[in-house]
Amino acid sequence: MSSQPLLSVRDLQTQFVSDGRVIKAVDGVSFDVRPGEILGIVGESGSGKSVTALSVMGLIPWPPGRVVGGSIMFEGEDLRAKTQAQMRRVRGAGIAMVFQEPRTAMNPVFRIGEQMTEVIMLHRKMSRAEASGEARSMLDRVHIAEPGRVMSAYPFELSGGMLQRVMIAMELALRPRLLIADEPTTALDVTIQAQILRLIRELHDEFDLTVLFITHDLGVIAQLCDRVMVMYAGAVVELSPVDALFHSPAHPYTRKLLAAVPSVVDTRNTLRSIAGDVPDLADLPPGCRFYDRCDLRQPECRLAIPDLRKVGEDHTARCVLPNAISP
Amino acid sequence: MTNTALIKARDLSKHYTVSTGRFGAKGVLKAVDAVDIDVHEGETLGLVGESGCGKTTLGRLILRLIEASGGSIEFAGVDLTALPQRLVKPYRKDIQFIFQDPYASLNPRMTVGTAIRRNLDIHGIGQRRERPDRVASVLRQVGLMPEHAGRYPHEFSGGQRQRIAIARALATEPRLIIADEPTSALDVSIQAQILELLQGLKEKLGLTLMFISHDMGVVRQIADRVAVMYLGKIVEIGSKEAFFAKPLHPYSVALRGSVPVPDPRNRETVPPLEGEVPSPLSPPSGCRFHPRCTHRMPRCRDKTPHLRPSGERDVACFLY
Repeated sequence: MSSQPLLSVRDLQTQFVSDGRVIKAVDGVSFDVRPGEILGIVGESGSGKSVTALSVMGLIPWPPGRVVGGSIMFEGEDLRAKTQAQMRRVRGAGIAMVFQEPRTAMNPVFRIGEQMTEVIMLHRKMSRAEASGEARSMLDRVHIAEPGRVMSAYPFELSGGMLQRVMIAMELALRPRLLIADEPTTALDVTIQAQILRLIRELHDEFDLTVLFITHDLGVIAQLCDRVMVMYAGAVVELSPVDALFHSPAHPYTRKLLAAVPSVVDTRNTLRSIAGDVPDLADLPPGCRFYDRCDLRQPECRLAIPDLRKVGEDHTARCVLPNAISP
Repeated sequence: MTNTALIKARDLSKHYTVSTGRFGAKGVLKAVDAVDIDVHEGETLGLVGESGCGKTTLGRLILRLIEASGGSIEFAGVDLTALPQRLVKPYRKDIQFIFQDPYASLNPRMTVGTAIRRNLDIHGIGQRRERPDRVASVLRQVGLMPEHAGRYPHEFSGGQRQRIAIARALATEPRLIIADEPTSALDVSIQAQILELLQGLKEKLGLTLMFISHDMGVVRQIADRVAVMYLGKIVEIGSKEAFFAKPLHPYSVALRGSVPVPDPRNRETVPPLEGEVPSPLSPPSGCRFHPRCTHRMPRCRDKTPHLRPSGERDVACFLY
């Protein structure tokens, strides 16, 4: 494992225009994805986690949205400087992405095998026969029992869980260096989710695959990821190794979020909710974005956004207090 | 909590005839199949299961939003299935429903106050002139303000809209609320607010709650008893404490084991349940879970296990 990050995002700013208002969906996000790790991004609706991923992939639709600032370096190359044609080559062979709804990512009128073969031929410069063989072996690799039958099926004939396996097989057939998974198990039942998470873990171990995993589910983060980035209202509030995030969370939002998650095993009797709602992304307060909902707010929190500060080994939080409240 | 059954469903079934393919071939989909279930007065019963297990259908059958294919439903000793629809209506004020998606269940062109008021008008509750006060009072009960009555649903966040749906349900002073995935569309921080609210209202007003969810963690927070459904059947039902301490039915064990625990020091090591839920159009013979079950025995394929008491709960499995 080299120490150079595979993906390095600095001060990313992505905005959307709606009804003449500028929505700062991602506002100054910086992070690295290290080779061989599974980095999780967790946050609630509107936190900017998916927009961050789409910005990296160059998939923000203009209008209404666009990346207005910052840099996105992948394997030392600036993705923001690339043309659409160059980005198409990065997507696939460089960075692959699986989405929440595999059904919308597939073409409904072509058989699974045709779609997979086509994509593999295009990106890996293989003959049709080679590509078809590769598709079959990847389906086998993601534990699809009858690859032949699935290859000749149309997307509507497969369940959501099966289609997500097909998507993962198709993306991994391109031998990407980074897999971005955006809520890939959110639409699935919990027993099928468990199968897909185990599969991602296995492929990560086997292919030394680097994964950026986006989810709203802290349970999934705890089970799968090595490091975690917590987002709130378009900004990173905490970045930490997974164990420290769950056992010594530093940011008040992270702590409250953890306390709000219902679990099947813990011994807490009551959940604690977070009063209030997230701020309007088109009219953000000048200071800390969690100010209105924070029990520990200080007068200074109102004036300026706090910096990310070191609170532990490889662990930073965007709060003026972390040293005081971190155990 | 008493053990009086407010709802007593016996042998309750909902079968749909569906076309299964070419040439008009018909099949029977048993969404709910010969279910016996009691909801005790004053309790919260959590009904869990995966997509297509029949939990939503079961909830709707109880309210007679859809008609049963067979079996009976007693509400407070009255057999609702024996009544014609027009005589069911008076019971609808006693049994109210909260749906998953408050965007869909609130009319976008009706103010919040009108939506709540409608429920009072339909059931003829209180004097006409008292009804605005009743609207204001239920809005307060769910943590909103009487002034909100004049606004439209789109002016509220998802969590607030679910509060409005709860206020509308409370307006008729129901004895039973059936909540179908009421927090599934909400973020966790907002979900916790709604769960707190429902829990508080239930205690304060002495409500009985049937809480339908796919989320075991949520059910563990809110329920007193838990029922697990698989392919139209209840496979296990019992007290929450006993259930979460040690689920008995192999499907319950697998379901609980699949829920990702928010603790990296407690990572899942048990292999996940294999395969997928079979088609309800051709469910497996005998125990419907047998093809995926690691404990299956020869008789599981031939005979259907029925719910039988095992300690503090009932389980439909030949192991117990």
